[in-house]
Amino acid sequence: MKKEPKILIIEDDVATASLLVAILGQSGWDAIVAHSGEDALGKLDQYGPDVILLDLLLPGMNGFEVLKAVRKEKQYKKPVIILSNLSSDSDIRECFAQGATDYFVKSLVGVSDITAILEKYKV
Amino acid sequence: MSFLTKTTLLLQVAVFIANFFLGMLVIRRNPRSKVNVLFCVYALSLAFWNISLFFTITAIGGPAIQLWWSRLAFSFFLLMLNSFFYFTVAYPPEKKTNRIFDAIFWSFTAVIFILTLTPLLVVGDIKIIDGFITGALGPLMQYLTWYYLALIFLSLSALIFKITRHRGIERVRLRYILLGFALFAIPSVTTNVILPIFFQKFEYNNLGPLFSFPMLAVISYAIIQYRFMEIRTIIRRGTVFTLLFVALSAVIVFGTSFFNTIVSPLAAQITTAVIVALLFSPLKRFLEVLTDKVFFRRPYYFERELAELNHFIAHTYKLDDLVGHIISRLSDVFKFDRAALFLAEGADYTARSVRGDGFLPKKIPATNPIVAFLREKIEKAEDRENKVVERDSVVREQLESEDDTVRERLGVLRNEFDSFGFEIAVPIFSKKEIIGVMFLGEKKSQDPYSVQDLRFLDIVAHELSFSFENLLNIDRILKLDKAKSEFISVVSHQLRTPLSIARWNMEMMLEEGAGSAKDGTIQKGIRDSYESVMKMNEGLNNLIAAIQITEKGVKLQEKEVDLKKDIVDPVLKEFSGIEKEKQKKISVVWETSGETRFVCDPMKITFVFRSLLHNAVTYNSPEGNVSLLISAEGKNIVVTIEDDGIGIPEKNREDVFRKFWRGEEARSVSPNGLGLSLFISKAFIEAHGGALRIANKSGPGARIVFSFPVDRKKPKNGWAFD
Repeated sequence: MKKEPKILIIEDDVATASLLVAILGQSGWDAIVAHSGEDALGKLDQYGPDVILLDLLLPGMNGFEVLKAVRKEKQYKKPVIILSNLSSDSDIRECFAQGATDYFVKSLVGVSDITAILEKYKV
Repeated sequence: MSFLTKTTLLLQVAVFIANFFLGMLVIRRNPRSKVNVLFCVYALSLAFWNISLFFTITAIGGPAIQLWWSRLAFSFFLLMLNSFFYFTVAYPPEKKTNRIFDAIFWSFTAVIFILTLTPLLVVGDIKIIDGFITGALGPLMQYLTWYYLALIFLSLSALIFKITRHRGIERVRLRYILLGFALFAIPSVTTNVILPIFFQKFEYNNLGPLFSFPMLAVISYAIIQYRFMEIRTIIRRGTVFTLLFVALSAVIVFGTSFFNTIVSPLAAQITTAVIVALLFSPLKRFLEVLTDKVFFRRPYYFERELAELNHFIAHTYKLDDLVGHIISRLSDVFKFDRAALFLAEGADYTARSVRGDGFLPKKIPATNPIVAFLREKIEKAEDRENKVVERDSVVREQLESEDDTVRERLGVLRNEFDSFGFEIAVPIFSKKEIIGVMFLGEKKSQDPYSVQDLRFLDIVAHELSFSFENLLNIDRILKLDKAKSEFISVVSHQLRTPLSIARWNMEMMLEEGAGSAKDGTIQKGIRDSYESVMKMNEGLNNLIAAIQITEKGVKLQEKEVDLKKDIVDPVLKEFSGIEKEKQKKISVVWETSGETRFVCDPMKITFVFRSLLHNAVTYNSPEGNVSLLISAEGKNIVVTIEDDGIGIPEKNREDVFRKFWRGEEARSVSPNGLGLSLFISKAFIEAHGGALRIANKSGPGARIVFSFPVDRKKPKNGWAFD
């Protein structure tokens, strides 16, 4: 049996996180949740995800800082997809400058969109 | 009697009158000023020195009277040196006067004055040889010579020392005093020391005292007037016209004789006249430029600079560009050591462009003494009057004022100028409202600002006022626009989060098979969607409440309730889920023994309890406690809510009550939030006649205290506050 691709969901809102786990579980992902940036950086080495799904507004380290740490300190080369409710041009630009692979605004994408987007990144 | 002696005698009388007049003129300006009094004594002693010499030479009244006049000449000379020395010590006037020093000084002067009148100095045998006074001198003479030399040395040292210590108007005045001294010392040393000793020429001896007049004229000008640049302007103009006259005369003489050799005399004259007419204007301009360079270290051309600045002002639409350019252009023109331009921002003035060395403030309050003074000046002054305030004129007014309160106020103003090293304050105002202030420091050349400079700055300020007013309005609109965008971004973000959860849940449930996949998935989806909708509802309600409070104030819908049963207990019940999750109870203490029934808008009071407890729980540390203390103080219920969390920094205690304001740490702990709960809570409590504040707390965490009266009467129509 083919091993399921791993995804690390970095999302502080418990309800959103569990929903994403459910959605992605159904479309064949092995999903794990980190509720903060610090938590995520710990799980990154341990878990070795194929894709990271990152929210930007997080307690403690914010999503921009997490993205920077993931790319610069952890030298993580695989896709990092931003899924946030921030939608200003400057936020989007900042994320791409820090090495984000893709950027989606939560309220603008449905469940089917999320699964379709992430399907592309399945290894 | 030789012609020279006769002329000298005549001049001595004239100098006596002139010196006397200058002494009286200066003391009349301000009889209370010590400096003016000392100058008057100095001028009068010079006047009487001259007249004593006159009577000694003319010997009117016989040899006995002549002897007394010769002795008086020494006495007045001594008095002159003493008073000059004290003048150099006392200038510029300090606030404190040392009465003991005064008494000792004047007693000592009086003793020496009397001693010089005795035969110890001038024994007698006065003879006038070619206008030169000779006589037998006593033993005091040698001591007195040393005393004179010491006094001159001390006076000069005091002057030079003070020139290095002072700035602005004081330094300019001190320099003029030194110049006056040189005008007297150089020619009189020539006539009375160099010529007799080295060239055996005694006949010019009596000319020496006459040079006291130019000295007094310069010093009295320094005391009375203060804008010295004018002297240079006058000399410059005089020089231009003299050179112009000489040059054109030369053209006429040489031109006529040259053309005479070629054409008829009439034609030669006409040709020369035409050349002169054509040459006049450009030659005058050329000489003006030339003399400007000689008399002013760095000239600037008023109209040209003004035109350039106006052009820039009219074509700049960015406030910061304009502000930066103005200061840099003015710096090129005046070469000052520092400058700052402040623009109104709320109640304060913020530095928008700063240049130069030294510490310059970033903000000055509207209550700043200089700003207040400018405001007063704008209120009082005529429209066309120059509104620029100079430190020099403040100092001058302070020195001359007889009113102690005025002097004190001007002293405060002067200190304010000195604390930042500014020389000039230029108000930029519109409809008598100061929208900006430009401060300029001292010119690097150490020249004072001239009348032309002040006029230039006044015109620039006037031009700037129109431009600033427009640009400030644009700036304000841009800021409002930015605030609006931020508001929309915050609000939309806060609503999007629950909205997307609800949407995803519903999509999941709609998908075929999702419900049957696992038991309870549908129910969980419905519950999560419901919670999200409720969150969104709460956010929207808070938003609407905040807008209503801002626009219309708080409307209360009051009824009688029991604080415990109707408000506190239901709120605590809402928190029971969280208490269970965190395995920590909110500790509740009631310190009220009496009745807790009162009239209020229960929805709003409930909101306050719920919001503040929610904040306490959210921002608490994981191990921290949350406590709720309800007590009674007189006819007020006092509620204290405490936690051990991140707390509220002292500097942000006002900010937390602003709409949409959230502290850095609060954002970090809980990124989602509108920043409205404290704003609304405060408004609700105040609408009940109560108060809400952030109290001090020892150790980490926040303590919020609010109180409200319990003796409110239920209004008949149900509305207590509109």
